[in-house]
Amino acid sequence: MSGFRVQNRGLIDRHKTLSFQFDGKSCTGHPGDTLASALLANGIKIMGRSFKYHRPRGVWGAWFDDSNAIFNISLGAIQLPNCPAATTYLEDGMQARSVNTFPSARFDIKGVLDWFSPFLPAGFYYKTFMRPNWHLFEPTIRKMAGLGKLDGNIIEEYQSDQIHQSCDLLIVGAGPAGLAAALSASQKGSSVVLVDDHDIAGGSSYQQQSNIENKPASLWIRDQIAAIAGNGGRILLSTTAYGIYDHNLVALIQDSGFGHAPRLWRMRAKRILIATGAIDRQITFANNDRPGIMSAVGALEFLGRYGVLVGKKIALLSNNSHTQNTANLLREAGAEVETFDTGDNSPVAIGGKKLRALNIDGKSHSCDVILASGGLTPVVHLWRHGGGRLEWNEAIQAFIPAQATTGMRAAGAANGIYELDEALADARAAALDQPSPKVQSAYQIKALLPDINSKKRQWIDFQHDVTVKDIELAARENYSSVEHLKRYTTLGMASDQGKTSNMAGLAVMASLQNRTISEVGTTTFRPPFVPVPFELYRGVKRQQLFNPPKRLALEAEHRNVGAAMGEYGGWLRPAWYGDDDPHNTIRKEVISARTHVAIIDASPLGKIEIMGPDAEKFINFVFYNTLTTLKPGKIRYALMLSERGIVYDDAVITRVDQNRFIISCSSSHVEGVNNALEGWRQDGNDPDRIFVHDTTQNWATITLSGPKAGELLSKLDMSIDLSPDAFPHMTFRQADFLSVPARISRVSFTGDPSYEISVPTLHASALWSAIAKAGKSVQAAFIGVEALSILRAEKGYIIVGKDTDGETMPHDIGFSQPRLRKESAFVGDRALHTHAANGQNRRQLVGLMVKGNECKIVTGAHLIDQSGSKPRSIGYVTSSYDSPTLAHPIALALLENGTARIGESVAVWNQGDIRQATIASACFYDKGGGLLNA
Amino acid sequence: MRDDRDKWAPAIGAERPAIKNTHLQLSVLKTQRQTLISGPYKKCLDICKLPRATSWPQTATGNNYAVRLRRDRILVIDGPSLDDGWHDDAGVSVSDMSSAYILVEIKGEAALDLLNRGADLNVDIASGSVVRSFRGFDVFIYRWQSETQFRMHFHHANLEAIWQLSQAFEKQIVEYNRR
Amino acid sequence: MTKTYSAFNIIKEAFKGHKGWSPAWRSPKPKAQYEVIIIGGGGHGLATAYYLAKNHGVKDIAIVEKGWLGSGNTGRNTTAIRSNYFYPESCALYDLSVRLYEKLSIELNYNVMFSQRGLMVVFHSEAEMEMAVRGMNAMMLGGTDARLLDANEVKQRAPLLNYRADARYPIHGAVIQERGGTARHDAVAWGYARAADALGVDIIQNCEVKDVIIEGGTMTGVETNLGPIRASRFGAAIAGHSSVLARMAGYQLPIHSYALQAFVSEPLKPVIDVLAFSSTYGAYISQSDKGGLVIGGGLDRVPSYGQKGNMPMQENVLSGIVEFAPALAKVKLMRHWAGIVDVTPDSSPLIGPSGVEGLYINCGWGTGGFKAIPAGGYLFAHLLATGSHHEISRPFDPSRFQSAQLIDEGAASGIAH
Repeated sequence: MSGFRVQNRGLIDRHKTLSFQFDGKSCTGHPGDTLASALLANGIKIMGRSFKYHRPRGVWGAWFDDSNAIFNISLGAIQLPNCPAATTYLEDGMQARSVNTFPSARFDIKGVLDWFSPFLPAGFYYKTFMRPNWHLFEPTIRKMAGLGKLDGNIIEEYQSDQIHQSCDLLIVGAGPAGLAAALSASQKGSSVVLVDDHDIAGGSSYQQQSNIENKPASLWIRDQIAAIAGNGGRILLSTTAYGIYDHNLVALIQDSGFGHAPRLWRMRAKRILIATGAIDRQITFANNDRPGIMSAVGALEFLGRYGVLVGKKIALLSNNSHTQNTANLLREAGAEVETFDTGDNSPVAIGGKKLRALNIDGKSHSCDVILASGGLTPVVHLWRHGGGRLEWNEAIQAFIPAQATTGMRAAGAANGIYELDEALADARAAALDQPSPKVQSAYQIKALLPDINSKKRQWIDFQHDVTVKDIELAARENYSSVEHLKRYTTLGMASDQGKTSNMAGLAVMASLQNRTISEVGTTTFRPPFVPVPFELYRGVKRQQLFNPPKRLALEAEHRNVGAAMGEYGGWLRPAWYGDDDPHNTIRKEVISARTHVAIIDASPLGKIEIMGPDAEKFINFVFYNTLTTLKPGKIRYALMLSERGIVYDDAVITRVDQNRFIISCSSSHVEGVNNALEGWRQDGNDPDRIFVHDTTQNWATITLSGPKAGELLSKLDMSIDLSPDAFPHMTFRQADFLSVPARISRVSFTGDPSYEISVPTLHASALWSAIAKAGKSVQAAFIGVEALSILRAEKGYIIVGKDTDGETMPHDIGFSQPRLRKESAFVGDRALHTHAANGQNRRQLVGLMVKGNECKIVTGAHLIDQSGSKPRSIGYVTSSYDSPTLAHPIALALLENGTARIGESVAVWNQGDIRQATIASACFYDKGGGLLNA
Repeated sequence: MRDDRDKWAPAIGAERPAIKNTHLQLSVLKTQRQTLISGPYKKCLDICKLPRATSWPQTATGNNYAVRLRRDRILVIDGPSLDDGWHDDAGVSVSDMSSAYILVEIKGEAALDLLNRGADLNVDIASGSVVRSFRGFDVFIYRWQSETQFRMHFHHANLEAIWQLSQAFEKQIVEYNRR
Repeated sequence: MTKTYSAFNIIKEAFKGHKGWSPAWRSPKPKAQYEVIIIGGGGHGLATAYYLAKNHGVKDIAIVEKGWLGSGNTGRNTTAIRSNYFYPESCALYDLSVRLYEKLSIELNYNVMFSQRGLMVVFHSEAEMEMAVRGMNAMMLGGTDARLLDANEVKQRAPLLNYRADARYPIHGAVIQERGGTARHDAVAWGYARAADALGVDIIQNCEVKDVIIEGGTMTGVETNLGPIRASRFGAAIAGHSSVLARMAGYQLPIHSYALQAFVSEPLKPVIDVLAFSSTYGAYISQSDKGGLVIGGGLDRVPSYGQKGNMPMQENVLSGIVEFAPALAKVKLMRHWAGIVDVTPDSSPLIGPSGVEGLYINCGWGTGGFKAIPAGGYLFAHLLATGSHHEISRPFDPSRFQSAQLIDEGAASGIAH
C-alpha cells in the first residue's frame, strides 16, 4: 500500500507522528488528523461493514456526513463505543476497532450474509419469525444487531461542564460566510458568538486553493478571527450546535478531547444565523456502496484539511458545474482525474473490496476511487429544529431555508448560495438583519434521476443497507409516505440520521410515484444533529448532588450522639441513635419515650404563616375543619383537601392573633402546601389582605414527649406556667429562651404530653445543649424518626401518603363533621357529596390485631373478601410494627367499611399466603386520650 | 435497616472556610437581619424606609438594602427590627427570616461564570425579580456594590449541597481556564 | 400476488425479486357514506376498525387519518407493554391487552415482535419496598403476574444498573412482571392496518376532519379536506388532539395535553435484557432489538400540542438514567422526540359516548396508550358495534367523573394530586 499523503496540503502538524492501531494493524498519523484521514493516508480503504449485509465499507465523507467508519476506540483505560472515524481526532496510542465486525473490517465472517441478501429485503422480519414465537429468534437477532459494544466501565472523572450563556447573535459555522457575518455584526456592536465544529475555523475554504477577497484564504481567516475577537466576539471551536429549542435556546456541545466529557453550552440567542454549509449528495448507481466511492466534496476536504489524496486514479462522476474545479484541484495535488456526467449512461462500479473501474455505457474506465458529486445539499437541520420551513429550489435541486420564526436567518451555502463573493454578501446582510442581495448564480446542475429499472443493486443508506429495490418494495407495498418509507426500510434511521441518504431516497421515491421531490417532502429533522453522550445532560447532577436531601441545622449535634441518618420527606434526619442493633435501639427509644421523655428534632415540620385581615376567612376556606372558631393561643388539627376531596396533607394550625395563623404541615409537603395556599390566595381574593410566608427554615423545633416532658421543659427556665390549666393540650405560648423569642406548642404526635419548642434556627444549638443537659436528670433519650413512626402508630395518628392514599377522604379517617356541618365554602366540599363519596364500601382507617404469639403483619399485605370464586382485595395494610409499649404487634389499614366491622375477623393476603387478623380501632394507646391532658 | 450516616459527609454549617482562589471568592456572610415583607410594593418600601428594592441587573449597595422577590414581596437586609405578623397601619405582613436564609457573597472575575453554571442569568435581560433556579435550588441572586460582585440567598438546609455544587463548578472553571 | 407473510413466501419471492408482494393496504378514495367512521388512524383507531370487522362483522368501515397512519403517538412511544396496575379494573383492561398482544403476530400475520422480556420496577428504600409489596399484591389479586425481587436478583437480571456504594439511590429490590416487555410500535399499526384493510376497511390517509356535521343533535358526518363523508356511527381515537374534536362538536373532555419526550441512543450490542423502571430516578430504559437504548421519563408539564419538548426535562430524564446506570454516561443520544399525551385527572382512559349522539370516544390514555392498543380497539369496537360497554370498559366510561367513581392509578401510588 503506498501512502496517499501529499506535500503542501493540509493543516496537520507533520513534525509530530502519532501511532495508533486499527483492527490490530499498526498505523501512523499526525496531530490534526482524524482517524479517517490517517487511515486513508495509510492506504486503508476498508473501514467498516454495513449493518445488515456486512458489506465492506470505506469512508464516504470527511466529516459528519460519513456513516460507514464507526469504531470502538480504546486509549489507555478509556474505551468509547461508536466513535465516528471522520470526526474523531487522532491521539497517540489509540486502538481502534471497527464495530460489528469479526475478526476485522477487512475480513468479517458475517460478510457471507450478503449472499443471502435476496432473502433479507427491507422489512423481512415483519413477514417471518412469528412461529412458534418471536422469542425463539430474538436473542440471535439482538446479537447480530447493535454496533459498538459497551464495556460497562465507568470513567470516574467523566463529567460534563454545563454553562448558560447568552448573546445577541449566534452564528453556526465559521466558514467564510460565518466569519464575515461575525465580523459585520461584532463591528456594529452586537455581542456575537461564532461556533464551528472543527478545531480550526475556515469551513470549506480549505477545499479550494484560492484567495478570499484578494487574500490567501488562511490569511483572510486569520484576520477575520483577530478582528472578531478584537470586537469582543467569541469564537468556540470544536463546538457543534446540535439543537434549537423554544425561545431561541441553542444547545452547543464543545468537545474536550477523547475520553473527556464534552461541555454543554445552553446559548440563549436573540438571533441565530445558520451558516452550516452544504454537503455533497450521493449518486445512485449500481454497486455505489463500494469502498473507494466517496463524496467529491469529501475528497477535497481530505486534501485541504488533512493533506490526504484519496486516490491516484480518480473517476469523478458529477451532475453539476463544480466538476471542473474539483478535477483541477485533485490534478494539482497529483491525481489522474477523469470526469463523467450523470445521465442515461448506466454507471456501474467494478470491484469488491478494491475498486477497479467505473463502467459508463458499458465501457470500462479503470480507477481506484470514484468521487460522486450529486450536487450540494444545504445543511438545514438546525433550521428545521428552530421551526423554519424549507422550500425546494429547482434551479439548484435542493431544499433551502424559506420562512422562519423571528430571529433566525441562513447564509452562504446553507442558504443555497455557493459562490464565494455572493455568500459573503449574503452573510453580511444576514448578520445585520438586512435583506440579502439577489444572487445571479453560476452554479449549474442537472436533475438526478435514479435508474429505477436497473437490475443491479444501488445503495441509498450505506449503514443500514437500504437499496433502491428496498424503496421499490416499500412503494409496492404502499408504504408510500416518506415517514412510512423511512420506518419500513430504516432509511435514514442509522447513526447518521440520513444526512446523505435522505436526498437520494427522496429522489427514488419521487421517481417511483411520479411526483417531484418537493411533493414527496422530507421526514422530521430532530436533535441532536450529531449523537451526543448522555453525560452532557448530567454534569454535576450525580451521586450526592442528585436531588440532595435538606440538612438539619443540628446535624452535627445528632452525629455527636451517634445518630444513624436516613432520608425522610426530603430531609436527612436521625433514624435512630447509636451503633447497636437498630431494632433493639428503636425499641428502647420507644420505651424511653413512654416512660420518661424523648427528645426529637422536629425542625423539618412546616411553619407557614397566613397573615392579613382576611387570614381567618382564607384559612377557613382552604382547610376542611372549621377554623373561624379557633381562638388566639389555641391549636387545632386540620386537613387540607384537594378539589377532589382527597386528603392532601394534615396540619396543626395555631392562631397567634386575630390576623395571624401558623400552619404546621408535614415536612414532606411544605412546598406543595405553600404552592396550594399561594394558588388559592391568588384565586378570587384581594391579594392585599392575605399573605402566605413559608417560614419553615427560620425556626428550629425540638419536641419533648413523654410523662416527664413537662418536667424537662420546666428545667429550661423559660418562665412559663406549665400547669395543665395554664398550658393545656393544643395551646400555644410565646416565651423567651436566653433572650431570644421562642414558641412552645403543646401538641402531640405520640399520644403522650408533648411540647414543641421552636427558636430561630441560629439559636438551635443553644436550645439543644440546654435540653440535652437538663435531660440527663430525667433520663431523657434522643429518639429518631423510626421510633417516632411507631409511637404515632400506637396512637393511631396517620402519616398522610402512607396511611392515606389518593382516594382517602376525611370521613374515611374519622373526620366527618365538617362535611356534614360546615356551612361556609371550603376546598373539596362538592366532591365530598358525590355518589362515590357517599359509597357504602369506602376504605376506612382501622387497626388490626393478631393473636398473641404471632408475628406482625407484612406492610402492604391486602385484606381480602373470600366469598367469591377468587379473592377480592378490600383494603391493605398501611403501617405495621411490633409495639414495644404494648408488647404485641399492631397495624393500621384501609379497609372497606372497616369502622362498622370492628371486632370482626378479616383475611390478610400476602403473595398468596393467608392469615387472619381482627379488626380493631386505629388507636391502641390511651384510647381515652386522658394522658394528653396530664 | 439502612443507615446512611456514612453516605453523607457531616454537615459543616455556616461557619465554613471560604472558597478562595485567584479568580473566585465565595464566602458565607453574617448579616444582622433579613426580613421578608409582603404587600403593595410601595408600602413594603415605606415600612422599611428604603427608596427601592433591587432587581436584576441592578446593583444593591451598602449594608442596608432590599431586593425584590415578587411584585408584592421584598427581602430587607439589615433593616429595622419589625414585629412578625400583619401590620394594619402599614398594610403589609412581616416575617423575620434572619435564620432562614444563608447569605453568600461571590466575587472575582469568575463570579458570573460560576453563577452561569447554575442559572440562566443574562445581564442584558432585565427581570423584576431576583429569584432564580440555581441548578434546581431556589435562590436569590443580585449584584452588590459593583457589577462583578454578587450575593446569593438560599435556605440554610441547602447549604451543604449548594456549597458542594459551587466547589464542583469552581473546579470546572479552573479546568476551563486551563484548556 | 403474494399476500401471506411467511418464511416460505419470502424465499419464493426472493427468486422473483420480491415483485409479487401485494400492498399492505389500499389507498382508497372515500365513499360518500359508511356504516362506521373511525376518526384517527393510530393504533387504537386501526385496532378498532379491525375488531369491528373481525369480531362484529361490520362491513362498511372507514378510518380517516389526517396524516399517514400511525403517525401520532403510536409511532412516538417507548414501546413498553405491561399490565402492572393497581386497581382490578385496570388490571383487567391492560391484561386483556397483554393477552391480545401475546397472540397478535400470528393473528394479524404480521410480526409485531412482542418481546416479553420482563418489566422491572425498581425500589430504592425500605419505605418504597413497602409500597412495592402493596402494589404487587394488588396486581396478583387483580389477575396480573408480579413477583418481588431482592437486590441480588435485580442485579442478576440487570447488571447494568447502579449497584455502587455511591449510588444516589441504592437498589433495594424490584417488582417484576415477566409477561411485560416491548414491541415494535410501527409494526403494531401496520399489522392492524393490513388486517383491517384485508377485511374491507377503507383507510383514508391525508384526510383531515375539518368540522363535524350534526343534524338534529346527532352526528351524521364529517367535513374533510376530501369532502364530506357520512356514517351512522363515529368513533374518535385521536389522543392528544381529542380536545380539538371536542371543541368542534361541542362536548367537553376532562383532559390536558402535554408533551411526553422519548430518547434513543446509538445502537449497541445487547446490554440490558429487561425493561427497568425507577420512579425515584425519574426514568426508565429498555433496549430495542436493533440495539438502541430507548429511554423515557415524565411529562413536560406545560400544556402543548407541539410534538417536541425542552431541555430541562431532557436533563431530568437523562441525568436520572445515567445515575440509574452510570455505564451509560458515554453512550450517545441519537435522537429525541415527543408525542402529545392526553392526561385525565385519574390517569385512566375515557371510553364511552361523547355526549353528542352517534359519536363515541376512546382517549385519555395519557402516557399509557401503546400498551393498550389491542384492548382499546377490542373494547371500542364492542361499544361501537353493540352500543353498550363490554364489562371491561364500563368502569372507564366518562360518566365516572359525575359519580366520582374514579380509577385513580396515580392515586394508587399513594400520592394525592
